[in-house]
Amino acid sequence: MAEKIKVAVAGNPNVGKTTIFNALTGARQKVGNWPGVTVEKKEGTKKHKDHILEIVDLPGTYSLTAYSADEVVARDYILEEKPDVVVQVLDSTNLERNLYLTSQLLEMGTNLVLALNMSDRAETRGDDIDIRRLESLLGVSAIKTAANEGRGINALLDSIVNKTESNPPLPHEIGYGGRVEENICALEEILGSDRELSKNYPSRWMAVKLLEGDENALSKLSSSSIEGKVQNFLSDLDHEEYEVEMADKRYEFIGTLLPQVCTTCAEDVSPSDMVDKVITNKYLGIPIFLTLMWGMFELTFAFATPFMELIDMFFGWLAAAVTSNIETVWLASLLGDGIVAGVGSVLLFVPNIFILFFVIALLESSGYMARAAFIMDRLMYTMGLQGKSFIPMLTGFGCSVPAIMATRTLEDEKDRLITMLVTPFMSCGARLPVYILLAGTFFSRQAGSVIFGLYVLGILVAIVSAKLFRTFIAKGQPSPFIMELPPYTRPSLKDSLQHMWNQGYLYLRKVGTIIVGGVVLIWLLAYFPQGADYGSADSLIGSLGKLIEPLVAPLGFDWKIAVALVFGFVAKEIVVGSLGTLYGTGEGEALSSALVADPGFTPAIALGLMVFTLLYVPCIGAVAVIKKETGSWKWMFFQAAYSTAVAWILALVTIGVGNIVL
Amino acid sequence: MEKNHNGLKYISLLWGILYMAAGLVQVAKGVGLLPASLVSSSLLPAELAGGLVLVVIGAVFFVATFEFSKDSFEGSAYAYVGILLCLVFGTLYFLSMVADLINAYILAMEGYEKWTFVDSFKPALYLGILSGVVYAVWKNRFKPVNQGGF
Repeated sequence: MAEKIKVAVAGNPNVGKTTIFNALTGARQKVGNWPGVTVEKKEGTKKHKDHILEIVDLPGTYSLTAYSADEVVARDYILEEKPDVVVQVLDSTNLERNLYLTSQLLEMGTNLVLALNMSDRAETRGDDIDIRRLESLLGVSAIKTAANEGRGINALLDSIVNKTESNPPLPHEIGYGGRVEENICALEEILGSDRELSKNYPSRWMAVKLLEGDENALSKLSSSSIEGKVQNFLSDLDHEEYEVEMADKRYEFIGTLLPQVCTTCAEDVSPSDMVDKVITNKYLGIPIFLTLMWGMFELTFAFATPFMELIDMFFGWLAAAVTSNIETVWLASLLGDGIVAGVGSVLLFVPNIFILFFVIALLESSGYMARAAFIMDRLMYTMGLQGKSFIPMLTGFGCSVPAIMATRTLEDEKDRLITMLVTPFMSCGARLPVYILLAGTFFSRQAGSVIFGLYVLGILVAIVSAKLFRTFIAKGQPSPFIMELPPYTRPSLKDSLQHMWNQGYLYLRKVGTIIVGGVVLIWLLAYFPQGADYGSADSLIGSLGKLIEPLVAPLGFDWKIAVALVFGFVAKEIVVGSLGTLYGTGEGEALSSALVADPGFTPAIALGLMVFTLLYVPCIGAVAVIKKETGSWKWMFFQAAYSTAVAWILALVTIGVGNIVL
Repeated sequence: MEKNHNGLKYISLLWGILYMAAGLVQVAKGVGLLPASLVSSSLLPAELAGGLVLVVIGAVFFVATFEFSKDSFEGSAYAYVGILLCLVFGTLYFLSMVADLINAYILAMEGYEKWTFVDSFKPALYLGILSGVVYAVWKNRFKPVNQGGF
């Protein structure tokens, strides 16, 4: 009777694991889910010589920690099912990264066969891997494969069978040295006192995982008599420090091994790696990120000033020319006070928008934005989100609509929902005109810093809200964040200008459509009923403002601000146009002067209004996308209500503090 | 990896001190701990956020010095990123100066009647210019390992 051999196929993502699995099993496959999780499980069989190989394809993982469902599934299968042989598929062109998983599989005491896949590519590159040396150094079997060409598959099958007939593997240990090793030994001793436990799980592996703070490993002790003793031992240790120290040692081991098996495989430290040492530094990473962000907004404000002045002068002249040359009063008012002044008040900020998008494009194409997500991962994870969520959130600096759609890249539904709900707090480009008007008017030379502060406030509110949502709405742990950082590149001026134009064009198109419509509507409401002064409290817009004024009166906002905020729901830029209409000044310096002259419009009110504009319900386009992407009216209304409530509270606090400080 | 990094080490230390000192003075003036007129209100302005930027750059140079003192090749990486930050912020303040120049002399904007170059000649700009010189002299030290740098 043919002997059965249980085989598990492990490996990093994108190393050709599935191709190897398919080549090994042919058409005899069964696809399902691993129990309790939505991770695909593939099984197949293969008759080879006198053996029947029952092969399981484990999820692709970079390591065997317990940060993701994939890793837990892979690890638990090896620990609980104890396959006769584990085949690890490695990418021969990137051995250094792949050997990290190898080191962990060896620590688990697996009977390991390495399939060095993509060996054809490695050979083309000139890499000469000495597999005999690799086998003797690691005590494993190794086969070169090129699964896409079917090369090495028979040799791999032979090697699997031979492996089961050879002596059991010797335990492979990485010496961690110093206090780590001392603690491993002490824990091994404690674990060894529970015979059942040490029969099921390798004691040294378990000790290593416990020191790393692996909760999944700790849960395996729940029915053991030594659980309390172990917890007591672990209580004073900083697991994060141990985890980092042990990961360093594993890479040190790989660094020693690699040059012995392949002299051309060990890569020099690249300039990108060196820069990343600094940019992603535990302590300097976030300050450098904030510094660059501040620089971006300072430039956006300072360098745009002369261009804004020119646009202001042009529209001021145009509005005067229209009103003085058209005899029909209402038409002159519609064109001059309504369309020219309203559209001009928004076009005034085109230089800022273009500069902002240009700098964002530079940062993106240089590779820095990927680092920003990486830097924020630690903070984001603590607050209930994963670093990958920060990428759509960064897109939100441009526009919330594509940012919410970009959450589709998040695999976990809870992560995605939370990211969608908090992304509108990231200050989009449409809010920038409001900040520039108010910060420029009331905070002059500190305007760049005030605007920077608003963007940081948006990020903080998003992160704190994520924590709240994670605690009360979408309970659970965020998914781990693994991304390969692209190498830094010199940004292309042409591409950055193209990106700037594409994004800026969307803004200009909005001015020509939604905003023209909005300002005409505002003009109609400000002009009628006939006999009322334009934009006064007696006009329709005045009546509307008076109606909703009580809602914002506790903040110190009057009916004009209330109206501007209501129209801001159509598009945030309209807040500025509305204020221009309601103050009867149009755009630019005249509006700034009118705001300063208004005794009710203090610097504290201006700051509160900026905070409110930053945080309250996003524009109608963003709200519609939330409905579409969540597929739920409930979440749409929740986001609108929550954001407006947060805006109201924080604006109240800002104005209260501002009244004391400013 | 063993290279003579003495020049970069001392420059990193000096730049760390210069940026940190300028940044702390700007911050102290910005929050009112020092009088705005101390030394020069133009060359060392009262600017809280701008001062914090200089402090961060100074910290990067101090870490570079620390790494150099351990003979670690990472010192070059910190010095390189520090110099890049100096150049980025030097460029930013230069562009601000250009904008001020246009506002004052071409558009004759209100508030710029008494503007002179010195008003926009801030620490990030003049230290950035000096950093440009350092970069030009030492740029070969920042090349990848296989090209003889780092």
